[in-house]
Amino acid sequence: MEFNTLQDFLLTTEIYSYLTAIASVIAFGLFWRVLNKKPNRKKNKPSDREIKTEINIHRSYQ
Amino acid sequence: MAVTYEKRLVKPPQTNKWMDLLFLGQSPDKYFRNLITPFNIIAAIIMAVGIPLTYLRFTEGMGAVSNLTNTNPWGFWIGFDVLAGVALAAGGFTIGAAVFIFGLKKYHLVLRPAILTGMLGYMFVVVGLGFDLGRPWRLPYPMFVSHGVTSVMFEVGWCVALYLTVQMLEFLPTAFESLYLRKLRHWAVKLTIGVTILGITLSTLHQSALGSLFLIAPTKIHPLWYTPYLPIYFFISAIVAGLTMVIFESSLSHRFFHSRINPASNADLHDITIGLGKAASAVLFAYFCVKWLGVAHHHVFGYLNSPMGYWFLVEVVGFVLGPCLLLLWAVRNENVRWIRLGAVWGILGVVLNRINVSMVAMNWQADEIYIPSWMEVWISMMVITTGILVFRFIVNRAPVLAPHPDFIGEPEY
Repeated sequence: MEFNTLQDFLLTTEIYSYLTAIASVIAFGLFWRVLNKKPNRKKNKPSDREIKTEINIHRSYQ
Repeated sequence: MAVTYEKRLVKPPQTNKWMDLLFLGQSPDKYFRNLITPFNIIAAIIMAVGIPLTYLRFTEGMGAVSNLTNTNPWGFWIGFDVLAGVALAAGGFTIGAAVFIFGLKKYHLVLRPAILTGMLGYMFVVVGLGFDLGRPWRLPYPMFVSHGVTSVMFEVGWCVALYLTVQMLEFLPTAFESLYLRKLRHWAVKLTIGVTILGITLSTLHQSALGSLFLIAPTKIHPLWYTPYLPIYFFISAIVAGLTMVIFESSLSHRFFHSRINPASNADLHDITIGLGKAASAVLFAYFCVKWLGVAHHHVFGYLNSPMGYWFLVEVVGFVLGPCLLLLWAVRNENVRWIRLGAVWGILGVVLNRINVSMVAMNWQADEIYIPSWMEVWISMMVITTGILVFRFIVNRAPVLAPHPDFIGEPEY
């Protein structure tokens, strides 16, 4: 097979379709790693401010 | 003054339980006086204009209220009410799958509101569809009279009808609890696993089938939006819509139905929101990648440098990658407020996608441009408002946001 231009080569072989697929898999792997890193806050609880707001809202209904 | 959750745990003397249920334990006079609120006034205005428009649509025909034509037969009602509506009602099946199939029991707290939102979402999708079809009494025709087995519509029609039935069955335990029908509740609970599996199957089928509807129009849809992957796109983005809608709906319920929620569940809701935000972020990124695969596979990169291409980038980068990264950041920082904002952004992205596929990218080369009339938009607003009012009516009367005090400790499934 002969290709006159780089674009011809890319389109005919569909190589950039495969490259996009590979890049997507790698990108998703990296994204997954960042997503599953330990959270920035150590405790997985609402902040003091959020707890205070909750308590105030709840009191207002009593 | 609203009755707190703890006070509701103490069973009131039951003078007339049906009247108590209807008027929330108040006298009818007081109940109706309490209905005069800013939200109810706005809802009343929307209904007051919407009802005559409905009369006009069903007596004078579609042309009297809409800008739909033979060139643009599918407009705002299909793009927004039906396509976006079905996607946004996907919370029931995503949370059902998480709880019953993947065993993520902590999400059980948001299961009932998700099922109710889904059920009402589908009901009002059918109502919206009725406006577009015009003769709602003929809705069962494709199923029972004239079978169009070669049409994707046939599959969508059957799936939506069956899934609506399934959601009603899923909601039965909650309904029976509020009516104190213990034996019937016991029977309905036994069906839960079966109907949930059926619901997930049906949802997978028709969410993707809605995308398949557009496979028939490769020459009409802009190449950046048209791809044989459309069914996959619709399905993945429906999962995004389901997850983000549950975050959004639970935050609104938390705000507006505070007296109906057990305060002890606040910390659980915090964890649940972070979990849902994390899932939504991952699915959004997968959706973003698959979108680019479609562009690469069909060699349509060239179209990106055009006005339609820029709009495509607004959708994919602005409303898919944007909320995805915001959710990622918010999850990493355990910031629930920003997760909720990211969820709203994600919802807007799914709505934008459905409008783009069905209205903006459709007939993009035609001379005639479709812009919905104010009456079409108003009718859609009326349908949504009715949905919200029905949701509020049920949540105020049934144990949707917290378990019924009389049934605590009884099997849920």
